[in-house]
Amino acid sequence: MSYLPGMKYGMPHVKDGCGVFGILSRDCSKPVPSDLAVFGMNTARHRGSSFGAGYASMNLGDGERDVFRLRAFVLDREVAAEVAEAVAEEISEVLGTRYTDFGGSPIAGMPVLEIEVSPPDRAGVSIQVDRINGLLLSDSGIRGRIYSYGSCMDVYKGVGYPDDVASLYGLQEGSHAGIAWVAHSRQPTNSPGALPIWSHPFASMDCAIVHNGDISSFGANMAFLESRGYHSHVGTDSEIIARLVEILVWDEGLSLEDALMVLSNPYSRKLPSPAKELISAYRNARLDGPFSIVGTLGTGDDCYLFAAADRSKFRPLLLGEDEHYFFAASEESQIRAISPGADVWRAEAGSVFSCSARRGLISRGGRGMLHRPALLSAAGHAGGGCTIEPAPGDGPVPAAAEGGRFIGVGMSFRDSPATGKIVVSGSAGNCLANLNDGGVFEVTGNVADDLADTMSDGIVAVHGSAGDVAAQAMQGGRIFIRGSVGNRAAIQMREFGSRRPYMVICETAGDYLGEYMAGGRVVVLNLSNSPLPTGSYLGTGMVGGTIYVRGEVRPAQLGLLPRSEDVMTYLESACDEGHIDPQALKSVDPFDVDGMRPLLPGWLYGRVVRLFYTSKHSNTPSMERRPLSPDEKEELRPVLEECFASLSLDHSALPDILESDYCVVSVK
Amino acid sequence: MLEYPPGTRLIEKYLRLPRTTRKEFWSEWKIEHIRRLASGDICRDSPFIPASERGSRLLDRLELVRSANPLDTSEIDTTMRFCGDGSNVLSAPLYLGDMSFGSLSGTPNVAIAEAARITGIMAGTGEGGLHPDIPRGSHLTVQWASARFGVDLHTLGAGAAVVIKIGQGAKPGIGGHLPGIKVTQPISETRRVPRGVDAISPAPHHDIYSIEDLGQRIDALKQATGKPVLVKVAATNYIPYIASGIARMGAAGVIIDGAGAGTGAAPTAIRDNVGLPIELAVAATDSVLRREGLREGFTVIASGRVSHPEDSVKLMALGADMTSLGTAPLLALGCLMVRKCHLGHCPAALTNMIGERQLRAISLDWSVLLLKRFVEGWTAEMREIMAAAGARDAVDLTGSRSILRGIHLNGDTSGVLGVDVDECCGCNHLEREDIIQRWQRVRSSGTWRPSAVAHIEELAGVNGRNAGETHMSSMGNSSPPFVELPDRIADFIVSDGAQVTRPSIDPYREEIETEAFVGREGIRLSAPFYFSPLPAEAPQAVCDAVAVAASRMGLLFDPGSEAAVLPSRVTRRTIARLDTVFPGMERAVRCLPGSSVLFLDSPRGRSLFLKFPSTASNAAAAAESAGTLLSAGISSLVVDEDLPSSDIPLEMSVSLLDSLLAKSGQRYSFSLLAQGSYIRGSGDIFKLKALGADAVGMSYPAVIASGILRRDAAVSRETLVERIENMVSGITKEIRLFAGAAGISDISSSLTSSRELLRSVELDPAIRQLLSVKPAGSF
Repeated sequence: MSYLPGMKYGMPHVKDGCGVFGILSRDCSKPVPSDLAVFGMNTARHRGSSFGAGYASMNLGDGERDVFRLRAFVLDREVAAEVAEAVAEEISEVLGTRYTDFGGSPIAGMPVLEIEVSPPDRAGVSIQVDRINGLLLSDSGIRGRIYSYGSCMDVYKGVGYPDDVASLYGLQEGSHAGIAWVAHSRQPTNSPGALPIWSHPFASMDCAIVHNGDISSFGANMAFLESRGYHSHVGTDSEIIARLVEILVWDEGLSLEDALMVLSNPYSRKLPSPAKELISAYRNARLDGPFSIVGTLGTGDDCYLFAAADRSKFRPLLLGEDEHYFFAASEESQIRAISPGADVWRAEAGSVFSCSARRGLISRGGRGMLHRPALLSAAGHAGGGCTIEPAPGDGPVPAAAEGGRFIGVGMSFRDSPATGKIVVSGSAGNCLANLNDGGVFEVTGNVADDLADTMSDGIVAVHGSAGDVAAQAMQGGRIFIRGSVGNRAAIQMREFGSRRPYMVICETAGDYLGEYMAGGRVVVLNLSNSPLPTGSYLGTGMVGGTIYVRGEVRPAQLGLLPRSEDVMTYLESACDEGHIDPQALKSVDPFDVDGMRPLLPGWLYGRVVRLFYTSKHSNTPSMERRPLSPDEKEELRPVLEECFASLSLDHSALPDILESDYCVVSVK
Repeated sequence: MLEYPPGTRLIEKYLRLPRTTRKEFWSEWKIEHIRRLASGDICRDSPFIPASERGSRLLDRLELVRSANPLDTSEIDTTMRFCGDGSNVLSAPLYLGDMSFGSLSGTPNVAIAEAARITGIMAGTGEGGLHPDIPRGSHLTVQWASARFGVDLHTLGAGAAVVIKIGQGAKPGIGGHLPGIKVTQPISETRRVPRGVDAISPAPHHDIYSIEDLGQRIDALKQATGKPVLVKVAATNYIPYIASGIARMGAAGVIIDGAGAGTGAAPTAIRDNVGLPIELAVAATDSVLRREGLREGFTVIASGRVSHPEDSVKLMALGADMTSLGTAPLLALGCLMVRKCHLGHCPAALTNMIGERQLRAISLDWSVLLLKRFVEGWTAEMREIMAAAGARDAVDLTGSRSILRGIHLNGDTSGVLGVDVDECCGCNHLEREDIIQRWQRVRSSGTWRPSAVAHIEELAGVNGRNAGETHMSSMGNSSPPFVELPDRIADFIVSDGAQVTRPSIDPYREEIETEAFVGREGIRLSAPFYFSPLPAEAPQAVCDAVAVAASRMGLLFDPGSEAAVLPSRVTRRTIARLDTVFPGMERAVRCLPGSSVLFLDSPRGRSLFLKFPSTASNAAAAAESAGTLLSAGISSLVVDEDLPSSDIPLEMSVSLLDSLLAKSGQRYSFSLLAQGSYIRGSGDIFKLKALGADAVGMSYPAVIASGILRRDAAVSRETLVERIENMVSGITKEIRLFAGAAGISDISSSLTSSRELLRSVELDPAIRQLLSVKPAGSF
């Protein structure tokens, strides 16, 4: 009997970290060979561990001749016989079974039973699978579990690194093919019995999910499944999510994109009313907390690859396409490893990505595009690696791998000021130049997340884009980004005395730019004149410093404003009481608090401001749209000149840029 | 060395302890004991806590089994190597814990570090950066917290190790908070934040949203400093998994801070309702680490209410390698426990604001002397206790649970603690009657704890302070069930703090949606609560004010029998009794004894509510007759524990109703409302919602908020309304704090029926099973 913890009080919520990968062929006649899926996953091997990995492939159905396959982990042949019998009784006539114990390989963890049945009535299968799985699970242990079933899908999982598990099933030789693949590498906080049962992907009928994160709505989602008659779970998020997708798409009849919108659950204020209505109808089915989901769904005549990011974009999710494939991955390097020139973009908060072999790209899941290496080599920087020019100081030489993490971390430039410039040719991974105290960094490609955390001095110039949480708690020095930055750039930036940090972003920034900012300057140049140069929640919780955005920022994007429903309910009630003229009520704009002043009696205006727009702990910053003042021009000109020089940009554009209108965000 | 502005009075002797009638965890005896240690006076008969001074913590219900062959104290070895570093040998397994420069007023920071250096133990800096006079060296850990206050490559390398602070026991899931009044010039310089503005650290580390993110930060800090990295977390629902994840990610150790731990400033609601007792957390962590093969070479430091050397020994026996002391050293320095740390007026000059207007300061020499004797005395008493228990070596003491025996612990608790229990306590059945009887008695007598009343009054602004803001307090709590007596089941339930495997959400500065929807028509409430019938003695003016405030703030009001006389212009959100009931509805009413039908008309149509007493049979009957109720048009079920025939608390009836409806697949056809006059505020609302309620009705807090209990001068109706609005705003903010701490931002979907967010602490297992809540520390 295998060891199963905590069943005394119900199945524990399993917590793990990981890497994910998904790939779909644009052409049904050219399926993706398994080795490509393995390669894409194994590139992010460092995100996982030896505690579990897995793959799922999706293919078209054979129409009339559909064979329906189930796969189960079983303790032994006795359990295998029991499962086969239950399947024959509850689901459909068993055409054949195959039992493999992989020679007792520890990577396999448990023997696998494959069952082929004649096409069942699909409507009742999932409930029956849940019931059979329930019988295999008891307080004292787990004897087996059906983990894959359908007519288009195959799931392969085990206990090892992605390449170990691939070898187990012969996936590395490209012997298997799928129109779509999803893959996973697992990093558990604890490993109950190290059984393959807890490896991903998790599947419902012809639908497989891999996921990175730890959903905080787990209990609520379990309650939802409970009310739909599903009772047997092993405590992972992906298993819940696979079931939710199945229910929303097949039982509720939602389109895949609508189903994923319900799951990704964007903040209400970002949604139009019909979407709001749709989402609020599915209480307890929505997901909360950090996740990026990648999944595949088979309908028989088409194969879908999809992905979704949580409402706050807490987990990394990169999307991409080239002429052959669509991609979804935890890291840019996974996509580039297969297709160096692919279009790659970041998923946005609460967004949905979906594509199918027959329909192509359906929902993009994010705007913009990361810089391509091709563009970079055109600029004269070929090849990957990291060098220090002209001569290294006494500090350690950082790792030189493409996408390498921690480059420059631990080098004290204050102690060895002779250290030259660190040039990263290609893209840098997470945590570049953290704690930088005076070093000069140049990156020819993109940088991933957590750039220059707690940097106190020095220069970082990035010719591509930067990921999430760039320049957190930056307290001195300058950062120049040629492209755009993800969410939460320059959060907690602060200054003291003569030290003032500057961050210049040449294109656009995501949500929460300058959150908790206490000093310093952020400039968003928006050189491509995007209509949306920054995301939402701009300057939330700011207590100092200034953000300059070239272009248009709507008042609703600023800070953390109250829900307009709450403000309007208050005013409508006050109107009922006779305190406000009904005509005046119609002119109220809850995003324009100053505009309310003339419309409301003084005492009521004061009350509304105090209840909804101010707090002891956070106030909405103020914003003006105007040209830069002479002092501001004088302050910013040398910084922008340095930025343009570092990034080899055309200086002739600078005067126009300095004369442009800016939305200037600062503390009231 | 340390300089003070002219006119600063230097404190060099203990101030007399003020008398208090409150029940406090840090009793006068405990404080006097610590003062005696610090005065070098340790000649007493027994090193153990006398029976009369035992509290009711779980730790207090563990007895050290005296050995038949006690050792001599000279045979006891308390030394240990810190984080396995052979060159850093500590004289005792003690750590003076993580109080920041800014929270403490400078001299205490220096004194703590200096005393640790002299006595050969460890001290942690806290998150405010390094005070310039703090001695660097192997006795020190430097903290890396979410706000990165005062850290750079050089300060991080100042000690023996780096501590990543993810959470603290007093406010799991909430960031550090230094009130603006204490952000004076010197603090502003160290932290690089504007003067006079609250310095609030982000609730999560924005670079650590998952276990692999933590691994990355550990690696980066190791690479940056070459030092071992420890991770400090609060004791929360998943603590054993979190600790094992921390070990797996390459940290040298974990500091686990339990519920009730001290703090310079924390939201009261969080302090009293979130987090697990340290004894359960340590025991569970030790067990999981051993199971996973991760215990060897990994350091577990336990903190939170370590109040006596006996606590240190017991926590080590439960699985800790070291214990961390925070409040105790402050008491050694003369802390009077007046709980004004967050206001900056500490009479003992420990947590007062510093800078140009400093009235008092504590003498550094005296402080160091006190702390030196305190550490030596504490170690000496630990040695005596270990000798009596036959434990020769501090290193072997760790995890030797066999020297502990439980008294009056239920099976859930003793299972997690891994200790044997004396037979005398097969009293689970009696205990259940106790809490239900007590609930009956307390709510019918209308007795409210003074602290709960003061809390509501402050939210409402009755006393003129911080109206509409979350209620703040400092130092450890005295909340039920372990200090004050529990009054209802909710007092045995704690909520989660998200950390490491997922981020908490900053409740002050990020969006947390609090709305709730009621009825088939989807009436939107701005927050998941409303007002239920006020107590009969409440004046009409208060009733009117509640109706107006409920209407403006987007809630509901069920005025009970007062419906007819309410101000007619604010009836949009007032529920009324339906007097004429048609036959279909009569059938519905007959299904549930004591029920009545209420209605609310909104632009979306008429919503019907069925209100009934809180009984198990009603919950079962409502679930059974769901079809009848639906066909009668009833879309909301209202359980009211104030109705005469109610015999179980809302926690039980709501949870029962929720799970029965889920089982029959009918849960989403109804809204569940739970109401009663003994709902005390945000904590009860949050917990009842997680047990299955969509919205929670309360009433007596509105009476408190109106200020009429204070019998002050007559106030205008608009003032009454304003106070109730402030209370609504304050409670809504506190609900955001709970949600943010638990890592949820969509309350309407993620909280309702989400029992996984809750844990029970020493709740009668029979009730716990009925609620389907897991016991704290289970894994």
